[in-house]
Amino acid sequence: MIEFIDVRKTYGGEIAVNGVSLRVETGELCVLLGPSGCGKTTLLRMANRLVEPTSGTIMIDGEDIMCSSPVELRRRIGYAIQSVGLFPHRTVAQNIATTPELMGMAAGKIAARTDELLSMMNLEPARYRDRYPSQLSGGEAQRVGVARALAADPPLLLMDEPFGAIDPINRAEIREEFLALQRRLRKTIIFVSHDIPEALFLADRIALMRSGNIEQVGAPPELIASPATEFVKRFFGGDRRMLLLETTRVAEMTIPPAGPGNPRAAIAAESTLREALLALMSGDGEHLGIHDGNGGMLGEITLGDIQRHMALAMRADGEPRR
Amino acid sequence: MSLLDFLHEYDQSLLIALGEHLRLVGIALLIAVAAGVPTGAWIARGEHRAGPVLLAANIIQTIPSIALFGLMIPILAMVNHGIGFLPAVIALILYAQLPVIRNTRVALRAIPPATLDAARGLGMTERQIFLRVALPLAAPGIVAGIRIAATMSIGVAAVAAYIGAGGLGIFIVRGIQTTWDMMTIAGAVGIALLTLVVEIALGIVQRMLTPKGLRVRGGGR
Ligand SMILES: Nc1ncnc2c1ncn2[C@@H]1O[C@H](COP(=O)(O)OP(=O)(O)OP(=O)(O)O)[C@@H](O)[C@H]1O
Ligand SMILES: [Mg+2]
Repeated sequence: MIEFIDVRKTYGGEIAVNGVSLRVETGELCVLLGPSGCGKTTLLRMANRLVEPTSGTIMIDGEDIMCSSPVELRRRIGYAIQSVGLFPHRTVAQNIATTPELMGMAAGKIAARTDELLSMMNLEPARYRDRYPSQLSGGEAQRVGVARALAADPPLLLMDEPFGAIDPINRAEIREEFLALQRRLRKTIIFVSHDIPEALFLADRIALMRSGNIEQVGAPPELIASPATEFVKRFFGGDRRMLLLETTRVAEMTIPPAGPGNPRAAIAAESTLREALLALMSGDGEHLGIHDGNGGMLGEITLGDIQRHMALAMRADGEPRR
Repeated sequence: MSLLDFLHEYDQSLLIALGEHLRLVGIALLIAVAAGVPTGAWIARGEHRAGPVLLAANIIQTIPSIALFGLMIPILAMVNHGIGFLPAVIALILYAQLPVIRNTRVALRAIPPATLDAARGLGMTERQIFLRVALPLAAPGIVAGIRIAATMSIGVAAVAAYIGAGGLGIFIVRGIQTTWDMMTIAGAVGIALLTLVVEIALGIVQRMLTPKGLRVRGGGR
């Protein structure tokens, strides 16, 4: 668990981060989202003391980070920097091994770990481990940067736009794999992004920032359906209903029990409302069965159920609360 | 008398002069590197120091070698070393400062900030960042500076024969004094050959110290 308490950072007279409080729970993936220059990187880098806050406190698992030396702190926190910053004179494997080596892990163990991480990042170990950074594409380099951040298996990860240089096709794939990985590893992650679909897809919660402040923190459907400010509402643009369909899972709806007679089609409760909608429109029945993924039926929904859920969620067309 | 005959007749004294020359340049370079590389690293870390330090090194560079030797005679005469080896070594050390300091600074500053930032973020100490990241990446540039200093020093050391520091310059000085061209030519050719050999040798060192990751480019995927 990491907690920022009224953290400020100013450069001369310029305010980069303006008294931010944010708590990210253990095992949670929190996305810092916001336009360029709003202070995402600065906030992130205060967590491993690459930037010293002007005022405020940052606690990791209840301990003030000022109590540990910066070097010790950084070895315990995985960090994927925005500009990747691979060491050009070290091979891919040596780059990934950096923190484990600093921590004195045995060479054999490091080699095994390196290969495991490369596979995890979709980079075939035999082909990539001995390459130099100059022999990688931008996207490959970025994945190596993520592997390097994960190398010492830190419980807390700071990731600054780690998939920024990856092309849209691979990006979607990497994103899915990363989410699957996170579901397995349950790390505490602060993930900087200025890509809305990426944030909506990955985040347990999003902290939407604007000029040094957090405008709103919440689960993706929450930010879309009930934006706290006009800025939040405008940030997600005109197709907020569509975004809501894409980010809400069927499991989050009230699912009426199944009536008599079996529905022809069924989908998992983990599916999004968008997927449910498509299934309803392409199927020939009015009802869509919802199963729990293990063969158990939870109930069935109709088009009307989705409409009612959306209407409730959007609360009078999602006028900002303040 | 041909050049070959000359070389044959004077081979002993030529070898001795070569030895003196190498000793003078070698010792001066070692000290110049020991002083110049840390100075270059120091000004690379604090840009405000770069101006004054580089200005001083530049001013030294503009003093003609003969004048520098002349300036040092009264100063070092106070410790009874007005002429000979000591003033020559000091002059060479001073001259070598500019290329060594300047190249060290440029090489260190050419390292992408993101690379150093990543090193820090992954938990390296300042010392580890310098030894494991900055120095290997800057090494080729630093050696390039030493190469310039070395070739320059070999030339300046020839002039040091005028203040009794010995070396291959002796042949040039005597040749001029006695108007014996062959002797002057032998000295000049010797110095040229020495420069060439040192230049090539340091070129090889520079190549060896260039990390493989900086040499490979592209590569098949
Ligand atoms: N070292 C610094 N000195 C002065 N100002 C800085 C410094 N670092 C950041 N800033 C300023 O602080 C503000 C926030 O910068 P930050 O890098 O945190 O933005 P960001 O949200 O990460 O942007 P991006 O999405 O473009 O990466 C910017 O206005 C920036 O100019
Ligand atoms: Mg940033």
